[in-house]
Amino acid sequence: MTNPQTEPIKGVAVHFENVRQVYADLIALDRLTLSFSQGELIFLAGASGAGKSTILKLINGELRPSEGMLWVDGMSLHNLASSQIADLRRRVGVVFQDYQLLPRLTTVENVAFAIHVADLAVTRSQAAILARSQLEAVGLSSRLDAYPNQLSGGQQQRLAIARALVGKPQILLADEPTGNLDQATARPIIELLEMIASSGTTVVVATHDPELIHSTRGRVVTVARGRVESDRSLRAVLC
Amino acid sequence: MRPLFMPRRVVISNAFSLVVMDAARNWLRHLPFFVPALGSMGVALLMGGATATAAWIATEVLHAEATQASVIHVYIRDDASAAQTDALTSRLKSRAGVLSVVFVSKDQALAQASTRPGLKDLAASAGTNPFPASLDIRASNLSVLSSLDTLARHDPAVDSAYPTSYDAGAYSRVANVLGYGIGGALLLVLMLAVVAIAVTTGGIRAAILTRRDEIRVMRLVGSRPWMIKGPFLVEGALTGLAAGLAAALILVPATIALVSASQHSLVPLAPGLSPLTALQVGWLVPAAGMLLGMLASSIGLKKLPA
Repeated sequence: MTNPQTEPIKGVAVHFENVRQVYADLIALDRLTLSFSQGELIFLAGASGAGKSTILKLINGELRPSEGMLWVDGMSLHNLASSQIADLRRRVGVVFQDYQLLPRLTTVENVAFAIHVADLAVTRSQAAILARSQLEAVGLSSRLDAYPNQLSGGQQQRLAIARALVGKPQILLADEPTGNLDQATARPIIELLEMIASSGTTVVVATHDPELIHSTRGRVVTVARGRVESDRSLRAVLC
Repeated sequence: MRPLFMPRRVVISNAFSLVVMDAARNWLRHLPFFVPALGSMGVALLMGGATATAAWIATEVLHAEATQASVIHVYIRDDASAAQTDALTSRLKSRAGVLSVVFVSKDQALAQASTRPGLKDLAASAGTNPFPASLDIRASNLSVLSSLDTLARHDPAVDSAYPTSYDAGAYSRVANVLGYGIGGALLLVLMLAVVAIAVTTGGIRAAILTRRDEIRVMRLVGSRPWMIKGPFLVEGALTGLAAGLAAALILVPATIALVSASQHSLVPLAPGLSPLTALQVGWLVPAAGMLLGMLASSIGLKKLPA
């Protein structure tokens, strides 16, 4: 039997060590031990209520582990002070199925807002330049002054990804990022996430869409009843 | 190379924009939520300002009463001789606790009365000088006044009909009436302030509820707590400031009108009150409103959605 991990592991972006997460009388995660490496693309698969979103919420500091230890980008979340949560969230980008954009801000302003939140010493003009550059990288250079309600679903998700990436996070979490998109729109989003992972950012995608999992490269971790049911590289399976 | 002072200036500018400018825009956008709060806080501040002004007047009245209470006027008969008056003066000066005894002639009494509104006309219409000469005695404490009154009222130089100005319970009666009045008014203002805070807290909570998605996004992109709570505190302060300015717009002209009326009245309506007091009320009431609004916001923020 191996000794439990008590320190962050070098080269590992996220490490769960015997994590239990309990909501009232429901066990969402049951002694989960799982690691994600730096620059890895991981698909968390499983049915609704399997524990995928709980894993993302724990990584993002929205939840604290009921038991066990959790390290994210070297920070120990099991004993994280409340005052450190804002710091953690600037290291972890998040993308949601419903985009969660600020409707009263334009595309550029949505991204620039995230820049100012992360670093108040950035001037308005610098923030605008950084935001434009990030929006160009996700293919939104033609919709810089549009408001979220003037964008298509795919464009809104690209904007959400640009906002999540602008602070150069080590980890990007995507909760059902293609849930509101059709297959044709979803594919470029997944390619974008693959490109982000190849640039060194750890990307964790929670999905229950089997077509999406089978159409992409990357590691697939299947979760059921709060435990890892299977953990494999899809490419290895296909070969 | 970027100048050394740039970051600090930029940080302050960005923080101001994130907290104050955003709050101002949101406040204007969600103004309907704050209308009930503006009304209740405006009434509370109006009452508070009026009470503060009344308390100022009461303090001045009490101060004047306390000063007057330590002075006793012994009224001299018109036919009293100079020798009788001098003898009484000597006897009074020899008593313990007497600080000074000053003779005020009938002419001096008339001159003093002429400075008070209405009395000049009264003197002129009487045809003769109705004001008696007096000995104005200043005592070191109120306890000796009774014995001075007893000594003076049986002296042959003193007017037997109206010997002295001594009134044993005058000061305590005035203090009691003013004390109860101010206490009651403060209690009323406190109740109104509680209502105003409760209504403003409700307005802030309504604003928080309508912006809960925005708050969630702000948290997700790593906003620090002050970036989220700051704008709501500013919105509370803006509500209080607006209510305070509205209250001041009523209070300041009313105070100036009272000062003006007091200057032309026989009885001083507002002793110690001046246009300067009106101006002090003019900035104190909005400042109190801002504090009240921020207090209401901080209570409302205790239930910030997770």
